[in-house]
Amino acid sequence: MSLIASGPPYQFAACSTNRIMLEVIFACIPGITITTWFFGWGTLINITLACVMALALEAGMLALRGRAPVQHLRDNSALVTAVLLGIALPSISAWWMIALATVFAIVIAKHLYGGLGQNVFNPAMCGYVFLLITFPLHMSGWHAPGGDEYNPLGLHSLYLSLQMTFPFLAGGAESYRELADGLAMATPLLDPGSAAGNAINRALEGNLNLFSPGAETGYEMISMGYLAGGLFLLFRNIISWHIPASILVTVAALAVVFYNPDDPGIYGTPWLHLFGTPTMLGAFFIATDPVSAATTPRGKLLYGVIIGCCIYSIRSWGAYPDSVAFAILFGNFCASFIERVTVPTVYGSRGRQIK
Amino acid sequence: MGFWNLISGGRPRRHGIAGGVRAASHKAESLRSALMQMPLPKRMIYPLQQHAGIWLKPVVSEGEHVLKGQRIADPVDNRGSPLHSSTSGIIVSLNDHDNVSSTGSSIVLTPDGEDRWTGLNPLSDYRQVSPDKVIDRIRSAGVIGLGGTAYSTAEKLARAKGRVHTLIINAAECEPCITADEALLRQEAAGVVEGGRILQYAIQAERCIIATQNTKIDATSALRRALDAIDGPSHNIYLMVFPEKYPTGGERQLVQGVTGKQVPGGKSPEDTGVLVQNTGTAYAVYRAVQSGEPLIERITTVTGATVRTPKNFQARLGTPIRFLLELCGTGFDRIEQVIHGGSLRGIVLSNLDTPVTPATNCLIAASKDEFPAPPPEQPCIRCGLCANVCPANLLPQQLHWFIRGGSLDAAASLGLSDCIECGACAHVCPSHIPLAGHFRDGKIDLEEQQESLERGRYWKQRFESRQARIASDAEERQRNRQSRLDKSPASVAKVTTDTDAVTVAGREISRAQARIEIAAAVARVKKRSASGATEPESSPEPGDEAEERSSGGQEHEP
Repeated sequence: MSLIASGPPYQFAACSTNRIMLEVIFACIPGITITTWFFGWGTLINITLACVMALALEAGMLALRGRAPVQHLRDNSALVTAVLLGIALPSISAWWMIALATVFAIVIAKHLYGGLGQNVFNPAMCGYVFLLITFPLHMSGWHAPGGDEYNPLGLHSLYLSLQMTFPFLAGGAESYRELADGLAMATPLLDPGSAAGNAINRALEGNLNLFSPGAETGYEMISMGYLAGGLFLLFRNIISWHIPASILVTVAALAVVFYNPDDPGIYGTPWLHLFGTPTMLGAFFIATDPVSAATTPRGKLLYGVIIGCCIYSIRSWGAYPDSVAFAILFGNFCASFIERVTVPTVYGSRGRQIK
Repeated sequence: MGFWNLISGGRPRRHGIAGGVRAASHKAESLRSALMQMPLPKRMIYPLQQHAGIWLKPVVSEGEHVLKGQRIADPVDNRGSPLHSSTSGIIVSLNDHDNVSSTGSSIVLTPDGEDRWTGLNPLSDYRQVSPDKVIDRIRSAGVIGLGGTAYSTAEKLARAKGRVHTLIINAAECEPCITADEALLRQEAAGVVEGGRILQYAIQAERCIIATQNTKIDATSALRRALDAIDGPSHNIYLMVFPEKYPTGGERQLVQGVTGKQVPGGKSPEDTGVLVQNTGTAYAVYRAVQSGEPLIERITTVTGATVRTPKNFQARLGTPIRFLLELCGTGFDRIEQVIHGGSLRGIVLSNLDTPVTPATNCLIAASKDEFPAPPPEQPCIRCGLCANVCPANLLPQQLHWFIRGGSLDAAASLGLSDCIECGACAHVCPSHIPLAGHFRDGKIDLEEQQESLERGRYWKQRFESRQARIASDAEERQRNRQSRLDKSPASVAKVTTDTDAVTVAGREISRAQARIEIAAAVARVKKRSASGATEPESSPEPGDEAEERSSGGQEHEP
């Protein structure tokens, strides 16, 4: 018998950072599946490439920083960053773009700030915004599941997607541009009057068919997928309701206030703002990244309101086609200030001065 | 309040308790068997340190035969309580022995096997005597808090009397593994309720609330029956059932749950008009008043994966812990650690020959797999699970951040000293950070820092007042001098010169004197060492010494 001296507590809840991260990835599955169903293989290729690179970079950075790579790789945080990055990037990105974004996310946004738990900004969004600023034209092109002959899940589509990811397979830059042009369309928000307005209105008019691949229903179905994943995370108590609820309520409220029934194309419908855009992905999966978010209950609500306002205003009045990434980075920036002003009242300290 | 009274018939309302965690309770195992009396061990050990800093002084001697319930040690001050023998037998030693909390001397007794009671002195109807008499009875029975603090109950009652409107009997035993109170309530709910009424009478509280948890179904229904059985139409003793959560049974948490008020940091519940007493204490008070029995036993849960039949014992105080474990068929070779207390706040025993004390509510003989060491610590991801469960409404992730960074002041301003060290944060932390341990250390460091600041302030004050005194003295002198100068400048100047001359002359004389004295002393030493060398055996006679000393003294005379 050995009597080991250790401090209380001795009993622990069956919960680990590794598991939390895995469940976040698990919750992405519906969204990723629907994306693939409507838009083909691109996202899966993105995610796979990003994961491989992120793990390699993470191991390298951990070794450089003198940490045990194997033990720290097991926390799965690099995988979450890679998956979110793979989802966010356009599905017609070349491998080197994915690599650039991953390097920026893992090396600069994460490890140069001190690694897991120390990063001020969400790494995946940093990587995404880096590409958005560097290659704005490419980043605003969304994969269009084109005409009748186009089958997103077919072998030919996989071949095309691989050719776009690895342009040397297709024989150089020119053919890449042709491929990309053939498969890209503008984001529905770039020209709300035509693309989004028509697409969303058609969807609302009853064309919503879950199993017909098409842009009209695609964006909504993806949002539904991320909403389902987010509800799963809520149910599993991995995220709290505060941040997604306040983001969604803020965006919806602003969309209702500025909605113009005579010409919904100007600012878009509330439905478009909630479901025709990556709002759900941002609200449930990215803004809730605990490391870069506010952590006090009131702070989370305020954080969500700030992000919600940014999402709506950058989207409606800004130059970029979408705004979730910028909004979240701005929220990250505010988080530490928010926490200072939202410290909850400690038990028995009512009336006592808190500095 | 008025409306609530109308619809509830005056029954007090339950309030919410902040934070809390639902941990796996591990309680069912030890509740399967009934509460058990225990046979006599070969020896009993009574530590003479009752509580941190509270010492007892034996009133028996080695070899003396004592009876069960006989007083064997008295407290040195009124914070302690008298100690009574838990069986009849012979005092074999008053020696040193390891205690649970620290080492200290103890009384060791060998039972004679007869278990014969000393004469008892019950208070047949406590309502006929004054509350102070009841408190005195509780004091002489040596009743101390059985909830873990081991503080003198009578002392607590005396301080609470007249200041407290609500008495809470804490039956919300919430920590995993511990079932001592629950086992007691299943059998002796009526005694506990009666103990509550005695306590209520002793401090003249308006109402008494027995707080329990909804998972303790048998205990709750036993309490209901006991309350229904109280005769007399208007008693104000109520049952309040809380949802299961750790740490509902914390003193401050119960005050919040029962009254909705919070106990300010650094104050005790009595300051908010509430007194909290443990179930076991209430029962001990009942026994002390109703049958005159002093505190000689408590209920102890013996559980853990290496224990074949986990159960609750009516354990006599002083029983070696090893003996209790043996009674339950413990596989000693499989024990990894024995935890004294529950699995969230207990301490690991380093010696199984320590005795059962009033604080021994539970013993967990844990196997290796039962409570494995947590996996390696990972970075904090600020998930906030710790803040969700914190009953003090703290932000453990922020406290951890600041303590790690050495900013104790920042941690203090976020309420570090309000941490009750319940361990809920460390229990849920997905990164396995020993938060509770960090906060314990942080609080100690903070106290030290504040103490050294206090000390610094004290010495600074002393230094400053000394400087001020010197300055004012100098000023005073200067003033006197000035006034003398003003009176007669010439004469004063002359006097000053004269004094200076005298001083110089005096100094010269005293220097010459010193030279002569030194020479004389050297000569004396030489003479003595010479005589010592020739006659080493002879010791100087006292007369000689005295003469020498007196002559030396004369020499010193100027």
